[in-house]
Amino acid sequence: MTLADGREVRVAPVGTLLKEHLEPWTFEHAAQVTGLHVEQIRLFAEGWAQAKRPMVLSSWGANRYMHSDLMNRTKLLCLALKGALGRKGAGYQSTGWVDLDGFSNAMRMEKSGLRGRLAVLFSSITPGELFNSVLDVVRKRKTELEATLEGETKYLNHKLCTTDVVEVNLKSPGYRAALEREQQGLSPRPLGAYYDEAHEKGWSPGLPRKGPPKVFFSGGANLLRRNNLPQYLKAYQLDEMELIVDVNPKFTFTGMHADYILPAAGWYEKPGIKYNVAHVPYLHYTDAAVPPLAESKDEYEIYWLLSREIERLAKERDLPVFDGCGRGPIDWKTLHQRYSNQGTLGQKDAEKLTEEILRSGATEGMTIQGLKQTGIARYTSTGTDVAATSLHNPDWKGEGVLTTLTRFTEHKEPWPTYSGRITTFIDHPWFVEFREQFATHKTSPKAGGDHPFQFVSCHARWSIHSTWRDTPMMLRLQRGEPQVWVNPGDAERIGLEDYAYAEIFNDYGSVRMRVKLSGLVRPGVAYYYHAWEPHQFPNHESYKWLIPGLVNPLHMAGDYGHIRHGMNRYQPGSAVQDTRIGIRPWTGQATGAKPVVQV
Amino acid sequence: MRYDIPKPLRQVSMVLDLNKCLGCQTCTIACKKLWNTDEGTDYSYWNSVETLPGRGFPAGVHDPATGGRTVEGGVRRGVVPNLDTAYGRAWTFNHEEARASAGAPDKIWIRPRETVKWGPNFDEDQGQGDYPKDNHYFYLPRLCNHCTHPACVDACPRAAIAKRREDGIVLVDQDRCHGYRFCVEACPYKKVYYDHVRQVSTKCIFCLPRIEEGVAPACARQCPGRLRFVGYRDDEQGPIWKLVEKWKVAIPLHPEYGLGPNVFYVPPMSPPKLDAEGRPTGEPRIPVSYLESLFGAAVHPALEALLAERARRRRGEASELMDLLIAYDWQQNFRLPPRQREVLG
Repeated sequence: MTLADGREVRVAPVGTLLKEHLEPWTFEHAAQVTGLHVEQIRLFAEGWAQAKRPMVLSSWGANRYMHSDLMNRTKLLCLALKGALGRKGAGYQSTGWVDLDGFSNAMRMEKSGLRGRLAVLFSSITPGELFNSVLDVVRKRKTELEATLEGETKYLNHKLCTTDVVEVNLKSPGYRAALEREQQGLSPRPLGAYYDEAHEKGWSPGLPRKGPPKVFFSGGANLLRRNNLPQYLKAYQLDEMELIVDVNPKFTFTGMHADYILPAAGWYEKPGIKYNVAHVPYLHYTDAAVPPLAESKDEYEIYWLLSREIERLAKERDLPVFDGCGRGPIDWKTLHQRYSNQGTLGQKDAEKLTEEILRSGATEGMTIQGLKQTGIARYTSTGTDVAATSLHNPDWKGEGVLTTLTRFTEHKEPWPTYSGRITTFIDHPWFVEFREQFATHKTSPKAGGDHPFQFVSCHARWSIHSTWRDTPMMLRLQRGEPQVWVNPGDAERIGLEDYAYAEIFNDYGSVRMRVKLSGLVRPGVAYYYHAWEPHQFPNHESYKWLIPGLVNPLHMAGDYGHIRHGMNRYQPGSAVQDTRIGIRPWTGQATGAKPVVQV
Repeated sequence: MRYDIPKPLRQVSMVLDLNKCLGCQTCTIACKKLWNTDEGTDYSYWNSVETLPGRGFPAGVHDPATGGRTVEGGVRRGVVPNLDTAYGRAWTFNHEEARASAGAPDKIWIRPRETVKWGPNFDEDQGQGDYPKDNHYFYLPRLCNHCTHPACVDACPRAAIAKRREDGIVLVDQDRCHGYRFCVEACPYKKVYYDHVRQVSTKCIFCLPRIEEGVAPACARQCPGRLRFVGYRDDEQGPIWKLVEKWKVAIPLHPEYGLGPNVFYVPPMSPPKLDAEGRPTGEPRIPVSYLESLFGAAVHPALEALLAERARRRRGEASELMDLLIAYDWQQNFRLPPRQREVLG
């Protein structure tokens, strides 16, 4: 057809293009790529075709490959072809169903009560913006959910002083150079080129801080254990800090490298609620069964005391108002006043804060006293929090099946794509550049060098996530030291004996782990169950020292329908599952990570 | 020694559905934290979870019986498992030294101080077979079977072990016990442990104080897989009677020992083996002959009943058995009316 400017273009419906795209993917071709038998694929396909309510539970673990997005897009395509998205008992379940709006309120409130809550609202949106937003909804230019989602995205991207691990890593020139070297040839242009373009065009918000940070303050985390290539994080970030503080119930590896550890009370030593991310529609309450050990304190109390001291010093030194992260001024001289809601929250008032959190859409009728009796309580809705409401299920009221994405099916709101419909086609310039307009297969890149084993991270066992990972009771239920799981046939071929030390190596050096034989493991793959502390390994270097953590540049793309940055929704991650390693018997040879490459 | 073991008025019992066990060891820790943190019982696990096929815990427990009863009904003397090679010593660790070496050139890492030879979960997930053709394993959680004809009772020259009249729970009188360990030898399930500090034998008490309050044992209550059912064997409304007597899908471990265990297992079904080309065959991965070596011939009708009811449910028809095993309503897993608490003197 002819365009307005006279150009002649060929037009084809996306459905035709998709059919063409899928044409080569016969069962036989898929069998060749996957190593599965045609019959297994046919069985699965027939089961899928016959399934009345097919559902894919695609959780965090499904996002740990460089090409996880392609895998997930393929699952979505299969679901869409079945008309299963947004249908009861079917569809796509990802992370997060229920969210507590009271939590973000409580964290941001600087005054108690209604005045505090209103102030939170107006701190993220000006009265003018609020008026326009209301007008948009009334005039039906936007749905109510679209308007609120927009407001929240704005708050997360431009107000909240937050960032992600990839942003932190890539901001450091040394770390960035290491990753660019690793990812050479994986994309049409170098990784840094995409990072720069995404920031120039405002697709990724970045963190516009004015200068390099001087204090690393760690709470509820263990970055030196968890970050990929911690040797680079240490060389390019932590070693430059003037002060490192760790607030933690555990004596972690990060804590071992801190100047100060502020011991936090453990579970059952402080009251608190645990709210889950998915699948279990209950709020959990834990009571303080015993007082905190020695000098340890509830984190709420630690920050209460700390903010009081910082405020005192700020006043004493008459500190000016700073804009540390580039997203607005922070006045240290009123820090404690704001933390304590102008003095209404005392040193031991963690429960008052919990009460504020319980003022959530999802927790109607719940009280601390009630939770103390029952331990758990069923949510009454997915919550009025924007993510939960707009992305998942606005009409679930605590009863029956929770179905995701009904906002777009039963409630007939447009999908946030360019077409307003479910689409399998993305013609964002970067997606075109990567030839990923449609979901396709791409081979897992060999991160860490061309070595024979794929090094796969499994979720921790013998611990609750990363907690109690090094307690004797849990260690006795395994073998006392970190283990690499290998197929018995592979082990025999290499000459590895069960329980012997093995040297795990790749381009970043080597570490030592105990060999564990298991018929569960596919030949050519080695498993590790994550969350071991580095000081459980010789040289205090864990497998993380060998894992570069690939970054997919497409996850920094934006300004295209549903392809736009959102914290915990669309942002680059650090993919670990593509890592390659070699394994050989350890016979006393020296092992260790190679020195950090200087830029 | 032959004691006249009175038939209890009622028998409390547990059924474990092996198709749902994920080997998380929450039961092991729930039990251990509640009952077994003393120094003398540090190596022992009243509740343990084994990977089978495997060596079990203690190692060798599924080998031809070491203990149990003779054909005539007397006690057969077995062995006391070795602390290092069968139970596995409770290793101690060097956390302090490891932390202190953080800034030193020679780093000390956290590891057992003792030589590691075996442990309660040492061959976890090892299993048998070749990937992807027929590799297989399953988990077997084990506790004391509170047998109808317990060998441990007869083995004790001190008459320190008794089966309670009220509920059939087998208990070791900690005051009468002199620590001879004949019971440890005699129990072919190896679920009596020797407390080497207090020098007495100890074993699973089926969380007796909880049972008296009408609360299921900690291992059952805390099971995330909801695979444990607890109740009385004669309660026709309860899950035990339905699974053991009515549907006959819950069967005892090693019935050939002749002790009449009161803990029952729903045997594991398994996905098909693949042929040389990778095509699924009709044969289950876990050889039925292997299951028969654990559960006896009753495993055949049990598996047949399970497969038939599963097929029925898949066709959309009703199945009381499948609904019970799925445990839609977890509270229904337990039927334990609270009783008058026994006042111990």
